Amino acid sequence: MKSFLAITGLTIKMAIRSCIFILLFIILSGLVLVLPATIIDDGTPTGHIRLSIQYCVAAITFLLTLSSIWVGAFVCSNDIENKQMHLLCTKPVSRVQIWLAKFTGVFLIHFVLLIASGAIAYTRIIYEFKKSSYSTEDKLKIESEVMVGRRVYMPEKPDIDIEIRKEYERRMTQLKELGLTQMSSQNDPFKDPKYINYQLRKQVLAKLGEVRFGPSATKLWEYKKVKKNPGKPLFLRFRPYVERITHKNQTETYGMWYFKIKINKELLANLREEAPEFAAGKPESIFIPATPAPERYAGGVFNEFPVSSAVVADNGDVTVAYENCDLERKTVYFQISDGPKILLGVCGFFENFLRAMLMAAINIAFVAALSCSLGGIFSMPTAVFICVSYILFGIFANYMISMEEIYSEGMEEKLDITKLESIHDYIGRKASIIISATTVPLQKLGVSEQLSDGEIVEFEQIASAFFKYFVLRGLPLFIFFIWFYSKRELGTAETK
Amino acid sequence: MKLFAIIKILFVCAVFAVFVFCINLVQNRMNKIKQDKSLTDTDIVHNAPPIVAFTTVALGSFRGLVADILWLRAAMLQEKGQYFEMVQIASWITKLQPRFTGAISYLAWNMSYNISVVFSAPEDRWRWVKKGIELIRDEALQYNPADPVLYKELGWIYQHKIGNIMDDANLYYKQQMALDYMKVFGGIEPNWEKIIDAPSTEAEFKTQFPESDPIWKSLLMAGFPSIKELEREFRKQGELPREILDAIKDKQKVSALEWFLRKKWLKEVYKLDPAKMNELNRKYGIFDWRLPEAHAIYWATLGLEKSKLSEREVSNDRMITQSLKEAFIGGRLLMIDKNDYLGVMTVPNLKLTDAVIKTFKDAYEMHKSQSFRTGALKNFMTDAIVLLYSFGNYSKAQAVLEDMRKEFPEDASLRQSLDVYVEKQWKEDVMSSMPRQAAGLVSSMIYRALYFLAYGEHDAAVAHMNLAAKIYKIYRKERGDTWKRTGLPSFTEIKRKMTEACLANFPPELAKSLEMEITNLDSKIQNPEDSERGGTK
Repeated sequence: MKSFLAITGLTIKMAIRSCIFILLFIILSGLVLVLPATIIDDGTPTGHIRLSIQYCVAAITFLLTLSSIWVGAFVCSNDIENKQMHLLCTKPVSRVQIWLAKFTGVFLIHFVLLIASGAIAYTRIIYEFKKSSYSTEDKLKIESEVMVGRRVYMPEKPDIDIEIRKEYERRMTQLKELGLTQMSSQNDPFKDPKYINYQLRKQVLAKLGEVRFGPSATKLWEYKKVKKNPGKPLFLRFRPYVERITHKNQTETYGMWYFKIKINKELLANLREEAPEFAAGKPESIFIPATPAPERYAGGVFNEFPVSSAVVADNGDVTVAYENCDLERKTVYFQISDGPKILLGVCGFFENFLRAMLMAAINIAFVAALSCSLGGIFSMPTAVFICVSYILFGIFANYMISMEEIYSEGMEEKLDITKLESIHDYIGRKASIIISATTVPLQKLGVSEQLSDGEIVEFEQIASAFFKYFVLRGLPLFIFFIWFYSKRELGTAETK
Repeated sequence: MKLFAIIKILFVCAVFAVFVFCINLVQNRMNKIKQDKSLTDTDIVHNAPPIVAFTTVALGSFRGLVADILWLRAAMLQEKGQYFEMVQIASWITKLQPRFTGAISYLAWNMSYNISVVFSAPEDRWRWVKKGIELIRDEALQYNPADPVLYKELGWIYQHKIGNIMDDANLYYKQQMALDYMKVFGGIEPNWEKIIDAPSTEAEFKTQFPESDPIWKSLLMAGFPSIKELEREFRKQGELPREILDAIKDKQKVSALEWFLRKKWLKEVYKLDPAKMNELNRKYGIFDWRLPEAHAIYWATLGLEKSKLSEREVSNDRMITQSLKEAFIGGRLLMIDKNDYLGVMTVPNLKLTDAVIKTFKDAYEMHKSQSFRTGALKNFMTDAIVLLYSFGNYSKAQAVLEDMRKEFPEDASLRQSLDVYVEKQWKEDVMSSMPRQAAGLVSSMIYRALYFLAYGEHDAAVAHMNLAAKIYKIYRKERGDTWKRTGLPSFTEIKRKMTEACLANFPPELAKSLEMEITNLDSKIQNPEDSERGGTK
């Protein structure tokens, strides 16, 4: 342990002596202080604060990632190239210990820088917000939608497979009535069951978010295990699409939201006066409209409004209903990925900011470990090159996969596009899947957007990212490189 | 062996020299093609701020990659419906590829057209329309001052997005634009002479008023140690602060200071040159610079002037003619209420008649398109005659009709008298009307007449009331036997109801003015029902 601490201390001292620490600190401090002032926002106070948070956190993470690649590769390769390693090897300390100590040193330097620059960024944002001349309404909006940690609740999804089976059987019955036996013709290139299943899935999913005009077509969503937080409002965030799910030519629509609430004695007494027939049936719950009249909502964009916490039942259930009151009786659609979401403030901005910093620390730890591993077996430029390439491969492969996910939104079984794509597209897609499964997409560890959206960075999310990317994908790689490092023949360096 | 080695080296050198010479020949040709066809965007960007100069030089060709990533991000954000970052991304793309004007035009158009309409509140929409304008005007044009496409795109946003009625919030845009410019002009329009003569920069102002001048002491006493601070306050209020008026007793100096600040504001923020604006006023007729059509013409004219003659952009020509036509039809702001954007009312700018006809004729001479002459020019002249007649400018309407007869001698319909010709045009409109549309047409004419009357525009009021009466008469005649089924209430009844509605809904001052003038109007109009009975009121 003594040797471990000694090497860690030496690594930190070396970094401080080489001015890396001070230089980085100055750059980071300057950056987070100046950056918000250079932002060209959309002209709204909310937009400005969101961008300030997002860019400050992203810039800190980006710079520290770059620095940890550089420093990690440098401290491990430099020892061998300067022959200090040869001296170290004569001491009773294993190479694994040396590697671990160096990694710890590199990580600690960057962790301290992360905390320091994060504190400056946080203070800068809070100062700007407090000193701003924003209206009270704007400040309230920022506090309730941006500078907060809100938990997102998604509605319960029905079993899609059962729904597909039902739809399939319904259509087969229809076909039989028409004297047909299969859905597609003999020459149809898409007659295989997988494709039919895909098409049915698409239609069933579309239908799940469809709300036709009128009270009879009112759509229900149910939420489970919503935290009951008396006094704190919930927020309903939704995005209606008018007529079709596209961003082009979207119009405004009118609709009414209802929330199911349990009938208590007081409410029952009121009902007995106002609706005696209804009250006579001893109803247990009732749907209360969120607004006295249909509200106007913009199509294709997110709308949000606060709701009383009274809508949360004792068991954490929330039931929401939407009645389509469109003036032109057009159908309205809600994408499954959009929810509608229920958002509940569960922590303040400070706590959420700390959680985001923790996620950034995992990012830095992973990159530092990777660069230290590569620095142990390659020269510094080679190690940096491989490390950057690995990261870029991970980012782009995941980007390609996520594009495919976006266009097959909510599909458990992805679109079989092999019939439609060319050979190079096919190879590219398959390569992306393989690369994505073996590399770490750093964007998955970035939570700056989530933080600026006011969404809580959940501990489960942090733990899952650590386990999935650092432990499962990173650790085998590091162990392999450390093994290589421990077996490396130092004589090659000696002869240089 | 040594000789062989020397020969080998010489041979390699000779081959190298031949290759270099050949490459040089090809390279020169390639460079010329690149330059002629504008295949690269690596030329030095003039007027660029340090950040643009840095990115274009330091990043080299890699800036294309960075710009690509930003494009992908922009597309993804738009797909997600998150727009707050779009302005920043557009600005970065512009700074990374300042010469890629097609992309910048798209980004500006995307903000003004696509993003603006996803918001329901007019103020949100206006913010995005302005962001599109600012991207071209404040950034792209600074790097590409000679690119006609950018001028065309900028003019198009003014002409189509703000000027047209396609957007539900167009009246809000017009109101906000007018309020903005009224603040800069210090009224409906600036004092052209004073604003043109005023210094444009602080340095010029200091030449006019050296540091020894007492004006500087007065500024300091009023609590404004620098022009910057005064400017900030001036732009907030739209006029000189009270303290300045109290501190500077010399009225001429106050005026000089005020017009210097207005000119600087106009040039720095709106990138408008008052001398150029006035030149256009002299060329075409007095524009209402609070309305978008004047600005479309301004930018299209600059586009034509700054582009090379070989690249003369036809679209800029067209924009000028179209905007002139629009300015003629509704290029004068009659009413604006800063609390109610629906109260924006524009009226024709009849002073532009000759200029528009001339521009149409010039454009025809330049492009020699027959369809332009028989389509756009002829339609405009017809509209002009009807509008001039409607607004009581009969002699000008007659002059345009005569001009039209010379221009289109083959058209027999033009040989009719002015009254008959105009009546025929109205008839065409009214004949295709359903009862509700006809009632709307008559009511709207009466409404406009009452508005003009309230504002003291008597000739226009009488002309509109007579026009309403004539439309009513034509419609009644056309309906004949079906009048019982498709008829309208009596003209007197429609007029009475409209007057009551206007008196109840106009702002108190306007209502009072209308009440005073209404009796005078009645004596000047011809009631269609009276004339049917053979009498004249």
